[in-house]
Amino acid sequence: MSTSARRRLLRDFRRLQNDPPSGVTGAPMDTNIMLWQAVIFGPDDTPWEGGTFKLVLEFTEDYPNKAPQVRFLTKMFHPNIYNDGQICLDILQNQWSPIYDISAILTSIQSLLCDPNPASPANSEASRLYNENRREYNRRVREIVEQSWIDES
Amino acid sequence: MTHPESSSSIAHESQYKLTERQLSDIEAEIKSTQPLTSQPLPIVALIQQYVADPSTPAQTQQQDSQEWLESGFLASSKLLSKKYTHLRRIRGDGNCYYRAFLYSLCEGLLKRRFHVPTDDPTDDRELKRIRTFVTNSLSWVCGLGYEETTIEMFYDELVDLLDFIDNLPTCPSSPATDSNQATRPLELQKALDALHHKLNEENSTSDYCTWYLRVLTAAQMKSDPDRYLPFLLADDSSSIMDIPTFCSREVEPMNRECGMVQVAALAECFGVRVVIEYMDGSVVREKEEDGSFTFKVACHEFGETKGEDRMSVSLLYRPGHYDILY
Repeated sequence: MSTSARRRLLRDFRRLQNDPPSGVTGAPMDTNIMLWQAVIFGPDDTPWEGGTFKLVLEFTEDYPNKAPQVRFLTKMFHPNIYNDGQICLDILQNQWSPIYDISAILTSIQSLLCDPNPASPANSEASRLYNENRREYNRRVREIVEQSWIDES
Repeated sequence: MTHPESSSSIAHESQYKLTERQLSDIEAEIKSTQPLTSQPLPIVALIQQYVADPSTPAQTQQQDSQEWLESGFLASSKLLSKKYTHLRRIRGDGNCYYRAFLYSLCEGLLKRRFHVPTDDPTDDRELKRIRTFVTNSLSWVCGLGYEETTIEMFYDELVDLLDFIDNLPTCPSSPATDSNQATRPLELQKALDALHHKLNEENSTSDYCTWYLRVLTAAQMKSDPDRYLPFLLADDSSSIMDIPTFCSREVEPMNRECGMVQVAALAECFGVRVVIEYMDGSVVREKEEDGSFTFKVACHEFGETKGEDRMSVSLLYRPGHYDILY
């Protein structure tokens, strides 16, 4: 049934517009509702403040029984984000449940930014600096934030 | 500048991705080799699974205990073959309990409909009770904190499935009694085939309704924490979880296997009887009044065990898996 994924995505879109969570936005790309682009803004009062981080979300006809593929387009420096932008987050893998909609996915990724999970390192350098040299880690994060403005243009 | 930890962390990274890939390969393999629900198989198929295969050479040191275990399974399967006639296998993807429950419940509803003497299925008290429960369930689960926008389409699927069952033709013109059932086996078989077909479509009704049953299970646990919290403590006393955490980790995600507490909660929220035959390699020896012994497979009932008129679901449990028994 090819329509249920699309039906649900339309619903997610409506919810995102009518009840927008703070600090995240998202919309389908052009005419393809199965491919979304989203932006997560770095939370205030954190090293991520001011950053605008772009992501793509790719949905299959299995959605919402299967999680979408989510990947950062903006270069990131974070213990749980791979160099290719893929995210190591339980709700996108083995803890996925159809209970999560796009709002919930984006909000969870946003809170992951400031609250990394040391148990699943995806970027070993970020992970090491986060644990051993927080000052240097924060400096690297701010570099990423500044770079996110350049990517913007 | 390199650090001694870096290489091992990189190994960890690729290991993680490898595991992810292996898991999805296994999932794809299961999907391509096992239907969501099989056709009913004669119960002898269960016995055959445990009859020693003479072509297998005896070579391991654990042969003895292995044989003992197999003989336990063989004995159990023979005992069950006296009590049941058929077995229906369910795909082993972690959803088997919920999927078996769904299939068996729908089949039960359909068969019961053929016994209703009128055109209106709600003339049967039990059919009406289940229908009312399902219809009201969306506001019930939303009242317990679930978001209507994410739940609604799954709820709609289950309501549509009940409508589908109600709308299958039964030839209502001839009033049904047990004696004239024989005149309608063809209609019943057609209806059962239509249901089987519907519940075997991939990424469709069965998956959607199965997940909705997970929500109902979680809602049932949240609605009565005093009843279900003791199960969680008994399950694993080393890590005590509260009910919402347990539900988000063990009930709401797809493909998460279920334990005793989920079995009980789903049976209790529907108010139906769930009979489970536990086949774990051992048989229970019971002393009769005359002093002789009989052997049985351990059997437990959940949900509504008293009401005579209640729907009933019979399942076979083997470690980590549920199938349907007839």
